[in-house]
Amino acid sequence: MQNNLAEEIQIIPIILIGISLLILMSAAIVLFFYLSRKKIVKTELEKATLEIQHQREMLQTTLLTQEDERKRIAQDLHDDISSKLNIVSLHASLVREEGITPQEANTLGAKIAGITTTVLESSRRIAHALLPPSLEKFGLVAALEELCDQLESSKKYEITTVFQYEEEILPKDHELHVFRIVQELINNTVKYADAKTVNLSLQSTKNTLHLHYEDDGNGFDLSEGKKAKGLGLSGIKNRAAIIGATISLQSQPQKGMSLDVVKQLT
Amino acid sequence: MEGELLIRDLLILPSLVLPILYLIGFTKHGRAYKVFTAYLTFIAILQCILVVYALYKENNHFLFTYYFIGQFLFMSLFYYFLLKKKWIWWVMVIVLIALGFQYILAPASFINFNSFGVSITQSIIVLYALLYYYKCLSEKAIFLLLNTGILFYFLTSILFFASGNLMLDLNLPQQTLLQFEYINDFLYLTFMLLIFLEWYRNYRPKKHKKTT
Repeated sequence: MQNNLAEEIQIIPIILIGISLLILMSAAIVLFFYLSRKKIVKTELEKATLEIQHQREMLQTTLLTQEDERKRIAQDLHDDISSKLNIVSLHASLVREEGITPQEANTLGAKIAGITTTVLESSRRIAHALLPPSLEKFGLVAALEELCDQLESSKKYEITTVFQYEEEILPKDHELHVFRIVQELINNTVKYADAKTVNLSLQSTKNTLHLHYEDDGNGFDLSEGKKAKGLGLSGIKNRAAIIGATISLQSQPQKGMSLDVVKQLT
Repeated sequence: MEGELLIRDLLILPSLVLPILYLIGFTKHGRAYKVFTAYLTFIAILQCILVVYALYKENNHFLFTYYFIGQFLFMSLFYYFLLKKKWIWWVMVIVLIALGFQYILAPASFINFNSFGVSITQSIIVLYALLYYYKCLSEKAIFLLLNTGILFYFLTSILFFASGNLMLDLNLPQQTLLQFEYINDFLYLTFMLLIFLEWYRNYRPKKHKKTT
């Protein structure tokens, strides 16, 4: 009987220890939960801040590009149109002056007609550069071909193109982004690359769209971020992000550059 | 001894007050809130019946069966609305069938203290609470204090209830039994306090928050 009692009394501390351990365990779980939650919330907050920062940078780049574009249009209008129209205006006022011989008037008239033709040509070129009519009328491939033809006509470059693109796989606004990306890449090649050959391909399969651009020019060091920004690469990145594509860029000094834009079509 | 009884009787008070507090905003809040209010009301009614039985000195052990089964059903429903998992229904059905079998095979367990049943049901509720914690890690969290209370009370009292029959069989001195009861009372009070804090912080009449 006494043995039983001793055993019974021994059980009590065991139960007490068990309950204390369970209390400790639940306290640990609660603590673990609150600390983890705090950490996760903090990480998510940091992620959101980064996202906002990225969007802000994108917006800033867009605004800068917009300003650059405005500056370029203003420059074009000033150089190619305003200055020539000034000359037209000057010649026209000369024609109206008294004592001018018919021969002189004819010469001035011919000059006015000549300058007007170049002004017309300039205004068409400016409008064309802003939005190529071929893109709207004949589609992306035609617009890209036209772009390559223009480059080829300079006789400085050997261009290879492969187009296997089914029209209207992309919406119109996305096609414009693809066109702008290629336009920017060609601009870079012309401005900085000193290249001899350019390869451009646009291929679409059932699931993917793949744009590949390559030149054998000067290339650049990818780690030099600032220079890359100057090349309008952030604009290309932004446009790729807008159409939901991923880009991969490869370049080394004196070894040319290549850029791939891949979009999953769903 | 009389003084002790008085203190223990006072412990019923929070069980009676809390459902009234939760009933104030009953219509304004979501389904989980409604189920929890129903649970509190159920506990309050059971406590009252328990006191009546105690007054007439009748055996009230069978009430415990209603207590833990009712508690399991209400808590399962509460976590069903929070976790939104259909398998909770299946768990509920399986556990009820298992308990049904137990009562058919051993009808005596209905009158006695059912350690097996209470351990299983409480463990499942603890599991739900843990799953809800996991869900709340990255999502919008409601009823966090309540969940903490449930986890704390149900986990710690598993051993207490599981060893219930053992302690009753041991013929322990009244004083030792009372000490165990005090521990349980402390755990229960903490649970009640967290339920009150949840109501006070998030569901006081001043605030009109819509919840699920």
